[in-house]
Amino acid sequence: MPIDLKAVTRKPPETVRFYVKRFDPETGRVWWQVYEVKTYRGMTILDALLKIKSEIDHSLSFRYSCRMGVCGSCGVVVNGEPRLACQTQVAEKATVSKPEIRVEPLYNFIVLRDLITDFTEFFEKHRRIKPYIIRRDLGEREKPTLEYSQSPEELSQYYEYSLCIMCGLCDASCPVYASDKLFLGPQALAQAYRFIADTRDEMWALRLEELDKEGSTYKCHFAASCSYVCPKVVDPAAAIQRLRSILFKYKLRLYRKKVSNVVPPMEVKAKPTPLPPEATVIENVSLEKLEEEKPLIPIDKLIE
Amino acid sequence: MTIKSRFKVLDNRLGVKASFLPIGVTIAGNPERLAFILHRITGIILVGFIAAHIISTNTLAREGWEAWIEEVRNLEGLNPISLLFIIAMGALSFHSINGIRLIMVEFLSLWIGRPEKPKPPYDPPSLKSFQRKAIYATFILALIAWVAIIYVMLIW
Amino acid sequence: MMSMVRPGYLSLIQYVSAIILIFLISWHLILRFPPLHGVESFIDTMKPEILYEEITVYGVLLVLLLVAAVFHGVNGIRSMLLEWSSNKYWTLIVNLLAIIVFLVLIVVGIHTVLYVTPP
Ligand code: SF4
Ligand code: FES
Repeated sequence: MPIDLKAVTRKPPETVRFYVKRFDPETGRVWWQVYEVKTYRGMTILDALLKIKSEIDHSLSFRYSCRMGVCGSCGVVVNGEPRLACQTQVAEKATVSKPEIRVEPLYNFIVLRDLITDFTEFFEKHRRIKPYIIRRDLGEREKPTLEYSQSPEELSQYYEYSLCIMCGLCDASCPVYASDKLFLGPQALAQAYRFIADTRDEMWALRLEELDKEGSTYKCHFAASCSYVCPKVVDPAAAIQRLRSILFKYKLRLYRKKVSNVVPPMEVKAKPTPLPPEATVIENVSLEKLEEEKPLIPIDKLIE
Repeated sequence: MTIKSRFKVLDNRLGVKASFLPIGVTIAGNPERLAFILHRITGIILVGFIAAHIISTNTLAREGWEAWIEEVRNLEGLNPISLLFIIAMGALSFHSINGIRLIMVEFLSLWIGRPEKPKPPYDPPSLKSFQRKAIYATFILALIAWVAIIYVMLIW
Repeated sequence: MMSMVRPGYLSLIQYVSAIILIFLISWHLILRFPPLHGVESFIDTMKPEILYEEITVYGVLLVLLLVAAVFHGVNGIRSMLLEWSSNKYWTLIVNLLAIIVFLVLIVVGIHTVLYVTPP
């Protein structure tokens, strides 16, 4: 999501009213609770939630870990937009004329308590597309002796999609995911494309068969909301369109994939670095022999 | 006893309403969502129109030309039936022009930029490439086409 | 059965029919442009003589338009309805209804083209 730099660096209003949508799993009650929070410059939504938890209401629950947009566990809906709580400034959402912020749990997920959502289905769908590199040569994959060659151009084909932190914001904003329980969701499909576009991967056909089912790729209709809300600029919408045209080519038997070869590691192939010209070579002394010779003082003596 | 049976959970799925309302995004930042919603609504209108059109043109095989001339008269001037026809034409012009964009984007995966390394101001490539301009062009062209059809129908 | 067909092919035909429709519908609309037939108004382009010639000469194109449009429409609505619930019976009902509506509309349309009488 493009960041409004002016709004981010502004000072937020003195006190901001937080409306938090809460859910009690024991009684099933859903209600909005209001908290008044004193703010400071640079305060994020997560900071505010932590302040509420430590100073006002200890029963408020939410999930977070890194506090810097890396772990992807703090996704919430802020003023109707799915956001990372730790990456959203209070100043961005609350203005002096309307010092209010609504915080809800993520849309399209199952809520366990207050702002905590259940990601089981999300990870299950991610697992379904086999998010790892698969090679035919099992021995080489498990105990590698060689390296896979890949050019920087080939890397740039999928690098952007590999930045996903699995925060689930894209699924929360997707209009198809909202109603279709079978749809894999933008995150899983973007990751499927990430592995199909990776030249090191050989089992693209396996993945394409999985994606050719009812309710997978074809359900996407390019509303592009996923790309709009993604905090890591993963651009799932573009990945899914590319995936779909690959699938059509695959159906018409036109799809060919370039798979990279295994090559020996760089160090093996490289020539030894030549000695600098000023280095003098002592005659009658060969370096190889010197290494083989036993040292004058035995090593175990040296250790003592 | 599983956790699910002991505690209640809340299903936060938005359901069908997300297909018709831009929930979770702003239209200004994400006009693709508006195009998606309009494409759905115009599609539903058009299926109704196609069915009505096929059944009404069947008159000339079923009842002959006299009845057909009677039916065509309904489209003269402004009346409920020609109004419905005009709405269908508006739906048609949007659905087809937006359809051209969708064929390019979804079928051929063109107009969505190339993958790049994220850099400030962090706009995703697919939202700043030609496809975005094509959306604004779609809205304008669809309006022009609709006005042209209404002009030929009613004023010519 | 529509549910037996791999969705990939249905989706592929959906896009191919869209491409066909763009050309055929523009042609279908342009034929209603009054100066093309040297008549006064939109209503007059649907005179029996003009229409009869159109249907007999371009019958094949009209049938192609019919099949493409009905498939595109019915399959579009079908996939939209399937999105809204993944219940087994719902899927079955939607697929059956889609096939019935598809066939009925095609039969009615082909009937129009085949059984048109000279004015
Ligand atoms: S694609 Fe973006 S929004 Fe979706 S889970 Fe990954 S990082 Fe989050
Ligand atoms: S707390 Fe880790 S991403 Fe927000």
